[in-house]
Amino acid sequence: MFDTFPYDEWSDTVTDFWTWGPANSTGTYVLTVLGCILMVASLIGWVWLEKQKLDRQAAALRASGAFEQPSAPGPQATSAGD
Amino acid sequence: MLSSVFSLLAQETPTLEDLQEQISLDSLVLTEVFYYYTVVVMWLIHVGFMAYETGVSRRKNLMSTAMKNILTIAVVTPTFYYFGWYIYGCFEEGWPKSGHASPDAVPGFCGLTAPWSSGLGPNMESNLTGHLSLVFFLAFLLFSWTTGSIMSGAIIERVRLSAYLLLTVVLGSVVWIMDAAWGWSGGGWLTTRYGFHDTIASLVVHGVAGAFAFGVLLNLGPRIGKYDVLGRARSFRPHNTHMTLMGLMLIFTGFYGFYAACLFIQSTVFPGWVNIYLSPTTLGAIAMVITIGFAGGFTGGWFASKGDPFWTLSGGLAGVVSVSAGADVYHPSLAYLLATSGGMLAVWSGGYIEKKLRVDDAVGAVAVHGVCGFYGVFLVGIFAGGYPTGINNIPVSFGGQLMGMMAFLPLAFLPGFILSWLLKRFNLLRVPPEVELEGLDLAEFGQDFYPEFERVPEIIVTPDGQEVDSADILLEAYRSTNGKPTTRVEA
Repeated sequence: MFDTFPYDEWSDTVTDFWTWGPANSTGTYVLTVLGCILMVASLIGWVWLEKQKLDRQAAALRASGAFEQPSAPGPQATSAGD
Repeated sequence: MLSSVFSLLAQETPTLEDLQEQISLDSLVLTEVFYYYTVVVMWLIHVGFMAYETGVSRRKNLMSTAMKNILTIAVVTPTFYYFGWYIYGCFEEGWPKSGHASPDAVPGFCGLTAPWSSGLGPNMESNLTGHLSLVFFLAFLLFSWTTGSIMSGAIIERVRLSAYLLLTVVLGSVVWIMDAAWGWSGGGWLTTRYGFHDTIASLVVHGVAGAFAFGVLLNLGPRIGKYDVLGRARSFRPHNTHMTLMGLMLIFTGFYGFYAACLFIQSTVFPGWVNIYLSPTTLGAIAMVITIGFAGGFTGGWFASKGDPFWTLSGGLAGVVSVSAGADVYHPSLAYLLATSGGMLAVWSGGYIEKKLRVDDAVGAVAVHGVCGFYGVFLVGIFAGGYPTGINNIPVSFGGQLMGMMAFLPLAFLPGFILSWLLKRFNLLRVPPEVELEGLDLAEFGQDFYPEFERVPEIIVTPDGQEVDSADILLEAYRSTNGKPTTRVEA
């Protein structure tokens, strides 16, 4: 049975099927561009989203006044001391 | 049984060409499987770095620390795929040749490293482009993650997650792979011209990551409260030292995969194992050196730190880093001696960086990886001088090793310093001081990650060794500097 296994033939079929075509084709160039766009967009997204979170939290903490007054109680309420 | 014999007799006798083709395929598959499992083992390095750094962090910063290691995979993998691997394939001679012609030493390689090429896509060919290219890429990708992880530990508890991700893209997908192209490849100009020898990446991975991290630390500044008004260093207590030690042991386990991935075997091309420079060696030789390197490193770290658990294990890592560059040529006894000195050097240089330079490296990464990485290449120039390296068989020399060190120091330090300086200018490098005091986890994730454990006061160790409640010290440091990171020293 295995002597007649059509590996080469099936292999050619699989190779032809690779989504959007083989190497150095229009399809692979398009996929590469799309992937690069996602890569860059995600990096920008990480920067932007984190900035929003940190700015919001820092503003809330400053507004609480916990860090301003030397006579204020220890940072138990602010978690500065964990 | 009898039918099987008849069946065999009925088959045509295979020709010599058939057998050669079959042996070639088997050899390729063996290499493919070998690299696949080095990747599996190297994942443990990343798991280990995550546990190691998370354990070192204070409770309030543990998830923000772990998330850096996890998202390293999310950013370095695509960037390394889209341009990092191309840098390795095409910049070996310094700059790609016209039309992206391959380096002379490895014909055809440059063209296989572009993301749209057959080398980086699935194909069924039984040759370099088919079976080996992707697993070889993956092994290098894991090295890239490692460089990011080395840096990440140094800057924990005050760096922005997004700043770290941008920095690690540059380190993992540009800087380290550029130096690998120059000095850690068969056709790298440092190897083919100067015999630069760094077999298991003392400098090209560890030293470079340490130098990059040092550049970042200069702009990032210390954690609030790290230094008192006299510039003396305080210590923050790790929230889970057991986790840190477990992480280091996982890193050590993963290093066996790392070491193995630095070698190459393909029996139909080479009669035995070759290193990254295509010089003959054996898997046993490097396995022996790494093992006795740990032994020496632990010993050196223990005695230099007077038995400190963290530095004893870090000493083991430093010991291995110190002997990695010459792991293919060192006698085990020589590796033992050199690794012991490396473990000691890490402890002493770590103390110098923290106490004299006043650079707050939370895990000692600059000392362990940076200093010992450069030390390892330096040692090869002394103890392995004359050893023929690379396809041109250029003898290893002290001058050649120095050439590599001089090339890689600015290549690593300057991008780290400049990019972190730019991020600092745009206020994107460091978290706001209020968030740093409160803890990054609440700001980033909105929760405490030990919800069922009582929150006890955070401890800080004063320069004279006393453990005290940190709250007043941190608040005083915050108010006296208006929240700006500084190592202000009063006369």
